[in-house]
Amino acid sequence: MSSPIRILLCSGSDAGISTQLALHAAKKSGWVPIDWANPSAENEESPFYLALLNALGVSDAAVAVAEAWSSTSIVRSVIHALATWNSLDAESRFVIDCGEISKFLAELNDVRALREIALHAMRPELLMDDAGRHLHAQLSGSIQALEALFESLTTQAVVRVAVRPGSFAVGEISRIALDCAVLGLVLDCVVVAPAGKKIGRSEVLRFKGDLSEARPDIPVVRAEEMRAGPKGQLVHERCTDAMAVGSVREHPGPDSGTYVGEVLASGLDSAELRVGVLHEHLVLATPRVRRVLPLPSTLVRCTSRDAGVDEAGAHINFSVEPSLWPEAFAAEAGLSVGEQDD
Amino acid sequence: MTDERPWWYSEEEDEPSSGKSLDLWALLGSVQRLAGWAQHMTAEQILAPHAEHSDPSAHPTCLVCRTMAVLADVRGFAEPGGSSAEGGASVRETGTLWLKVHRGPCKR
Repeated sequence: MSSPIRILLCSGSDAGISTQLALHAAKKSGWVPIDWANPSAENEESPFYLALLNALGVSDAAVAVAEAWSSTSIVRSVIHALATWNSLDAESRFVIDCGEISKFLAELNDVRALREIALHAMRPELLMDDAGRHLHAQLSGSIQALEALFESLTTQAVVRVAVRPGSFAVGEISRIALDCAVLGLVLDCVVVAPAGKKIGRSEVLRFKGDLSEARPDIPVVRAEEMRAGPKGQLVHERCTDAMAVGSVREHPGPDSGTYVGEVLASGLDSAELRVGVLHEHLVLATPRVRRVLPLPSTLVRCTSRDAGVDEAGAHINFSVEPSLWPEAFAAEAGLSVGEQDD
Repeated sequence: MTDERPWWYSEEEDEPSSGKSLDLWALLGSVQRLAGWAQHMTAEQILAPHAEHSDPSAHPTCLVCRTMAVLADVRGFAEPGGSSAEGGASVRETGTLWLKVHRGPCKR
């Protein structure tokens, strides 16, 4: 990952701690803080925001849209970020408060679900008239644009999670890392909150040690250890080593007539990960989130057999489906490959 | 946002903020028009028939049922009956073929 990180998504085991982390990171690095969970009154009253809510409010008949957009904080966040972005210089960087991590990931999953709905539920043939089909085409285009926006988070944003000893199970961090990776976000590091009145320093240190032992690949720091860095730099640049799920790439397989689909990402090596194929898409799923990725055209014309997952990512084995290749079409039409049917 | 560049990409842009707002307005417009269409054009054709559907999987040609099935799929295969059996592929009603997944170093 060579491009600079421009968005730091601060989340936490609870919403309050995520705000503290975001403000702390902004103060340390000089980035622009944005409280997505609690947008300003000015933003809430913006014509665009009100128009969007108004549209959602009257969309009870458009069940697909209303259902997936019922939690609008992510959409609200995008609007807020874009509005802020447009008013700042192009080199600005954002520290964004995303609230409670489980809710944030669930809402991001819902937004991504729009694409699946457009692809597999709102089929044009099910929309009764030309007007409906035309609007469906328009909406599909818009959903793809929204999807592209979230895809871009993969290369420009990282997630930093703050946790409190005593209220956060150590095992939870692996589930968070897996869900982040599937949704296309790199987990930058885990910040252990400062010791409070009820939690001593020794307990904080022990908790940090347990987290590090559970996931040695994820940096764990105490908030007190975070140091100020030059403006525009993350306190920890570990994210340059980590990768989130981006796309499926194809390679020739070990045997003739086989191909391998490759998804490079850190943190996928988990027993919770499921891998599937849905029409022309690869599906990565955990019990909490799901992601569909378009398959390269070669793999679309293959049948999938099985998959392997390791620390480098996922590899899916495919075999050529002869009936889907040009030779089969040509033979059916009575032509040899290369001939033109005039 | 039809451009392949990330929406905040700035290095090669002549106009730093060009296009960003328009894309969101287009999205809003699409949502509004679809909502309006659904309200005025299809209430009788879609919503009324759906009111009698209790099992979404039994009505593959119903827009609402189909959407509900996709949403159920998206929101977690861990629900009862939603997970693939360990060691073999399975297909859900919505069509996902779940693959057998090996752990450890991948064979290439």
